[in-house]
Amino acid sequence: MELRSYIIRRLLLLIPVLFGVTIFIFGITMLFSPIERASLYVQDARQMTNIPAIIELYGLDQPFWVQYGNWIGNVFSGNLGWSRVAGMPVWDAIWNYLPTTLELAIFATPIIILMGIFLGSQAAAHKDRPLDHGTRVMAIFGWSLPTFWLGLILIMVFYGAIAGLLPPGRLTTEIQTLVNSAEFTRYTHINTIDAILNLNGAVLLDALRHLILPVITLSVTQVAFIMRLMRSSMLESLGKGYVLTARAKGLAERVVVNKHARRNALIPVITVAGYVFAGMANGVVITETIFTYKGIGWWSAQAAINLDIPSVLGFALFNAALFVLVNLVVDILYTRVDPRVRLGGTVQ
Amino acid sequence: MTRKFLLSFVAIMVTLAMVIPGCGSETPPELPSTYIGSGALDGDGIPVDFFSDIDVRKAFCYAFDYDTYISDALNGQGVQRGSPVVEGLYGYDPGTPMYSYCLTEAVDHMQDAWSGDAWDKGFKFTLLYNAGNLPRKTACEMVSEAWAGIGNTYAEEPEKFQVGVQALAWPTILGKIFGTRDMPMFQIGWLPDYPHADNFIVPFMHSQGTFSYFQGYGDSTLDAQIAAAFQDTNPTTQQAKYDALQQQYYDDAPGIVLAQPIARRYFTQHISGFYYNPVESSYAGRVLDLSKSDAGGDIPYLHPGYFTFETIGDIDSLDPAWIYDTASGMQVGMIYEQLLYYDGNSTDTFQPLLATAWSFCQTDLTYHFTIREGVTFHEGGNLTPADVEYTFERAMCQDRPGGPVWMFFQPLMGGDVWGYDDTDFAAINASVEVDGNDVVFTLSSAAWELPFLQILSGQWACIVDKEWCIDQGDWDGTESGIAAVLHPQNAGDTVLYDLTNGTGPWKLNTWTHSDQISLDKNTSYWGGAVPFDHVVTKVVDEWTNRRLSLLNGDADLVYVPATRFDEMETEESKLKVYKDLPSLSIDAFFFNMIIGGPPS
Repeated sequence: MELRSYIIRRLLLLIPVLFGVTIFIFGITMLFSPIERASLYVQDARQMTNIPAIIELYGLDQPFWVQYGNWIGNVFSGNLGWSRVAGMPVWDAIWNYLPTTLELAIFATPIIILMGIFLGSQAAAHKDRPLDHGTRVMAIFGWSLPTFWLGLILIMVFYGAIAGLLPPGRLTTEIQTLVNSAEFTRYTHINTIDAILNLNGAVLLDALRHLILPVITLSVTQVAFIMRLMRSSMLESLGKGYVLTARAKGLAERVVVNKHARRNALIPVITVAGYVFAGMANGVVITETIFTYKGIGWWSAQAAINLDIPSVLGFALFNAALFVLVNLVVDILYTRVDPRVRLGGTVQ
Repeated sequence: MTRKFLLSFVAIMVTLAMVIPGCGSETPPELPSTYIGSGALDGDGIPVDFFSDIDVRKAFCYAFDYDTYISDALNGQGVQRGSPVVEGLYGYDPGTPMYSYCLTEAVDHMQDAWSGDAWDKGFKFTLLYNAGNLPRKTACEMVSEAWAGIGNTYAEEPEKFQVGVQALAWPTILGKIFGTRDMPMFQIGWLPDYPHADNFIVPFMHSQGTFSYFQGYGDSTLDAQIAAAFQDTNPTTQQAKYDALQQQYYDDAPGIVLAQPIARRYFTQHISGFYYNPVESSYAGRVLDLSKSDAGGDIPYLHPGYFTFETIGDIDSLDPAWIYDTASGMQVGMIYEQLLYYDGNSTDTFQPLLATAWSFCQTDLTYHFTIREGVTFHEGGNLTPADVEYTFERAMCQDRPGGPVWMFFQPLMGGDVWGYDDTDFAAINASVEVDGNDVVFTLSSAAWELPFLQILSGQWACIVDKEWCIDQGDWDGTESGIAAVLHPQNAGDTVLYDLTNGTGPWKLNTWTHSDQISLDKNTSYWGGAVPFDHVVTKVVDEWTNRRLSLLNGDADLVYVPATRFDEMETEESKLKVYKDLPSLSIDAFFFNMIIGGPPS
């Protein structure tokens, strides 16, 4: 199948997916009574006498289809609703929080994937030798560390014990003031990229200083996953006939491992790497919360806790779209790594 | 694959379409509540009017261990009160009696209740609290354990008095208190709108009160008493009437008044000038009165010129007419100013701000405020009496549901006028008028003489610039323009949501939603020197980060929840700590006298 028609077909599939996801989530929120949903607009008891007015204002006692119809009608006119948690329209909130999360993902994903692939293939190539055992222990250790625990320990050591070295948050107060000022242009709202575009070393260094701990936290826990997957996939391809052939041809072991075995072992890793990135781009709730690095994960978690329905629906739309797109990219990547894979068909 | 997917998608949709319309609308159960067991006084439940018997209520008041509650649930940070009127409010009576923990009294009253049936048969019901609220959970468990103990010791029947405890989400609890009304007892707290006994007595005791209405307490006699106390303009006789009402709450025992919480503040040693006013919505106190200088000590002196406050939770809006939460009040109070403000830590004397003088005329019920001259807004406009008139008319014509503006309607219009829909533009227009350099408010009753000043000290009464607001597309000051601004749905629907132009010591630089708000010094502030070039408020949910920020000198003040006071004790030598600050709030149990509400 042609690449273009394949992409179009896959994107068309987005429509029923998004429709189903929103109807499902909207349906779940309807399990709450109008009074319960109205009380979400109330901060304290002083406002409770206004509950009937709030129900009427937001149409909370309307039938399901009317309320869903209103919402979807607004979506088609480009209005995803108001996010109470973010204090801005949902669409703006997604664009507001995404850069923060992308900043984390941009730094963490390559570290996780490259380290995972490297360590995994090394472990497989040295199966049952000290290097393999060492990485296995590392993997078990990293994978079983709770993120919140590791994050807090890192903060206590690098911000508490070594006072003020690697602070939480995104920028230091003074640097934040500089970034907010007219002297600094915010192109992407990704601090490191903006700092480079503004040729401002102080901002870049400060942004990196704040990135180190969250990126370490994310990497330690996730690299283990890719590493173990790479190891088993690699072991499988090292046992294949073509590796034997390559060795029989007298190729150097390095070439056998790196070129023949590793390339074929990459397919499952690519699938998972796609999800690692997607999982990170739709937010890493605990890391973002612990390091006061408020991205889209923090926002979605807050929206869910506070039953901020327009935000939850908007996030679901974003998430579904992201996963469909990442899946598509992964499928296209397969064909680059393994020429036998054909789009829309079966493996030949 | 695609066809199978579409089929299952259609199947899910059809199922949802069948299931969902039935949800959300409550089908009436046979009993009005699932929390009252059998619904009868047969030892396996309670009748819906169980708590309408005063002896039942008194028995429960005596069976609550107040001291243990304060030491365990509140970490010792609370004081028991006899009625909802707490210390610090105008009209508070320190002489109101209080129930003490006394199981023999509890037994006596329960033996008298329901002609002895309650004691002979026993009872069984369930208490609910909002999940995650530890003090409320502890209070419920204490009620449960006390009655289990009474069953064991005094009735010699361990299972005779069973009080179950169950957690539910906060919205669900609110829905039960104010909607289905099916909880036998509920726990909730109250904060002041303005520091006056009336503001606490009405919700707790009036037949239409926020809580009392939903528990079925209050009657026309009591309503008349409450109105008489409020309307009395003689301070001495008024106090006597409020004393009597507080005594009445004790006598009727419609609820278990738990405790008035006590707050603390933790600053670095570099900050001085803090004083506590219990009505102040700013956690930092009045920031204008603070100052920062290197005081040595263990915490490094960092970020000179900055006042950094780390807290939890973002603000709702920067529109004075919208805000009703303390966090927004703190920011608005730094950017804008009111006509007058509380004097020091007083809650009933005032200092001039944008008004230089004021006087009340008993005969025609007018309040005259002389507006300060030579004050400019951040964007350059001059403060005029017309701005003041516009500010209050704008608020009343905006009147967001659930907002603070009822506090203008009530003193100005009185009676049943709580919002724009209860009156019209002509009345609003007539209630605030410009008279030369004065602004004249016409009150509905002389009783509002003091409470109106308290209301005007709130951040909802901050003055905005009329011409500038109209230029930005806000209400144009005419009756025909009201429809466009009336009853806004979302905070962002009002023009002043994140556009600001006040007369205050700081102006808004950036509000990064849910992350931080930074304010810059207003270099042409009319009131003289401004202590900080920048005031930054950061939202930091994680306690460890806030604590370390304070100890590292990155923050000057952080929000410390009462549960962390113990942890801070070892750090106190490095900090400036203010203790034993009474909050103007109260948590109470309410006995629901008609569970499920009155039969319709």
